[in-house]
Amino acid sequence: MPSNSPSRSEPLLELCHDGSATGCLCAVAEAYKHPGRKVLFTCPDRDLPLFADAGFSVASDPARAERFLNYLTERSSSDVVHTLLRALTAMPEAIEAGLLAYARKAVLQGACIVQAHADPDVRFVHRWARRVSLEIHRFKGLLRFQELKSGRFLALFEPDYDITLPLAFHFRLRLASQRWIILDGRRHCAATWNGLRLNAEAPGGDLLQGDLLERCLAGDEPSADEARSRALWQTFHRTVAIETRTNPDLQRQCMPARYWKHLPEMNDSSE
Amino acid sequence: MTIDEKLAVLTDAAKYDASCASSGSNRKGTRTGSTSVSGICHSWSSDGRCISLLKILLSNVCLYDCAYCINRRSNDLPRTSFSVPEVVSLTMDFYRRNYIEGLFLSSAVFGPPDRVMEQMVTIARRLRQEEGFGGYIHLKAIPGASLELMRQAGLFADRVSVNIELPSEASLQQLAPEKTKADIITPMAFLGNSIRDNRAERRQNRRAPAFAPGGHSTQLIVGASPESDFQIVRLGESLYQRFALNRVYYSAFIPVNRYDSRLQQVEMPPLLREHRLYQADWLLRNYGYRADELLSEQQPDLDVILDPKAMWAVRNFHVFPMDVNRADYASILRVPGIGVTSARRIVSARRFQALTLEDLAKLGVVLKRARYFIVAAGRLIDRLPSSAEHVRRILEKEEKTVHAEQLTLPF
Repeated sequence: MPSNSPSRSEPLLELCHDGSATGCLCAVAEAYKHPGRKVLFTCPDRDLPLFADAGFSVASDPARAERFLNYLTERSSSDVVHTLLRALTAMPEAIEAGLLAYARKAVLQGACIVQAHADPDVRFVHRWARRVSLEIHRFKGLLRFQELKSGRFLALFEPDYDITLPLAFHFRLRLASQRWIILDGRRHCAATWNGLRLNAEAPGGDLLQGDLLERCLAGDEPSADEARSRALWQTFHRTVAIETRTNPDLQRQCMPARYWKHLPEMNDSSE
Repeated sequence: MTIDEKLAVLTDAAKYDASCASSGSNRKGTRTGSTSVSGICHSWSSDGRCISLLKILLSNVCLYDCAYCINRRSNDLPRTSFSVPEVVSLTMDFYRRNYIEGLFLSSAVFGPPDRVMEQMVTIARRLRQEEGFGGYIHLKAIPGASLELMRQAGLFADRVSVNIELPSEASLQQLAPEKTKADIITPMAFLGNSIRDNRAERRQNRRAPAFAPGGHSTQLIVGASPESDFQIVRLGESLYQRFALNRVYYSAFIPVNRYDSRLQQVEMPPLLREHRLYQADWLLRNYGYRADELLSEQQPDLDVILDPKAMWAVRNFHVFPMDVNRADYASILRVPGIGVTSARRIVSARRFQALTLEDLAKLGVVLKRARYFIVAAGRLIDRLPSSAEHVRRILEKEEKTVHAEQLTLPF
């Protein structure tokens, strides 16, 4: 019998969270304390099922979320928790129920749960974790920085998932000697690096309308060298292709068109 | 020439080199840059090839006259060279914007091999020492350059490689008479031994300086000379075994010098043949196949319609069906439609439950190929094809991805 199957004696447990990753984790932690009860997770962004009420509101408490993750780490492994957090980043539909089932099985079976590839609950979490990891890996290559007059570098992108922070950790090591800003134009959040310290800018305002962008840039503009470097890169990208092997389908398959907007090489006016 | 014009000429001259890998190295620069063991692709060109490194020639001024090469001295082309500071500055400008993972530097032979190689090593040294650069550097060694320069190259670069160019010594003599087998094999053996020794040393002492931590590779042209697939795959196998190469790249011959009668006459690059050779090479490196299992003197060429793994499975149909719930990992790997990842997942997942065909599909197995070669929980054995010929017909029918125009190529 599945661990979260309904019990005749206890009513449906309705848990409402604020829609954030922390809120979601807290709701899962609360549900975890009620084995055997059927749980309905809701959040303000989601339509409630017919006849459902708002239910018990779970506060978004980072300390509680961390305690829950520590508990899972002790009972399973850091790999399990890492995978769970990656899947959480995607925030797909029914993520709470998926994480709850995964957490229960991880505690029951320990670290080896990551190898149970045929289990539907494990597969659900792994599938979403893989998608997020793939997008992080893609943007390690596809993120483009432009140099500003102040010497800072700006990277604007619109990923499918909220991956600004994992990318910022990557570029903190890679581009350690330059100051930069990574801006997620879809979620209106950013990460900045000043050469010593990494800061996360909270969501707020409409980035593409200029709010956060203007706040981060403070009047800064592309540097004098920027257009030249961009043109050189476009020349390289154009020239390195072998005409007799032209295969635009393969190019699109490897580099989906939804990522092209912020790639200088795919916006080459001389082509 | 402006820097933009130079870049266009020297990229155009370098684009036929197949290698663009940035994997195998884990380096951190003192100021800018790092490498990732898995490698990172930064873009894809319109031919569908990944762009990871700034792939350029230092110069396309060449003293040699190799029959297959666009840069041969007898071709009337714009000729130019980068200066050392130009390459350093271009690499850093691109890297800071995250356009590239690093530099791939090759060169035509514009003077004595040592002089050419020395300039290439200087660029790598300046990037590392003066710019504090920790990104990927792949240097293409110049045949005939001294081993001391190879050693220096290995200390600054993540990968150093020598192109073997053609699949046999006879073809090399005919098509690239200024290059000798010794010029290629000597540095390749030196690199292989040095990399092996350095890895052993670094296991003892992690602070020992790394020598080409990304290993070394080579490239050969397929279709410019008359060798069979069997000769090529056997050569690849021998290179992996003798010189501990990371990769052998196969480059479909692009007839850029049609006027040279020493070359095989082809209308289009043999892309399907190149693809099949990469598949066979993959089987050698990751699936535990031997060259003589795939091909022989009697059957010297890879199948046009079936991939090499399916071809082997049809020819060895007597070893199937494989019980996925019992067979060992190496045997499962031999089933068409099951790759390394799926095989690993099968071996892990079957410890928790007996696997059915439906489970296998969810683990990533390509059932439309694998189903003819396996037994899973709940699967009756009498539903499998009765003979090798039968399964071959089924697979050929299902092989819809082969481009019709490729089937007519004369190889």
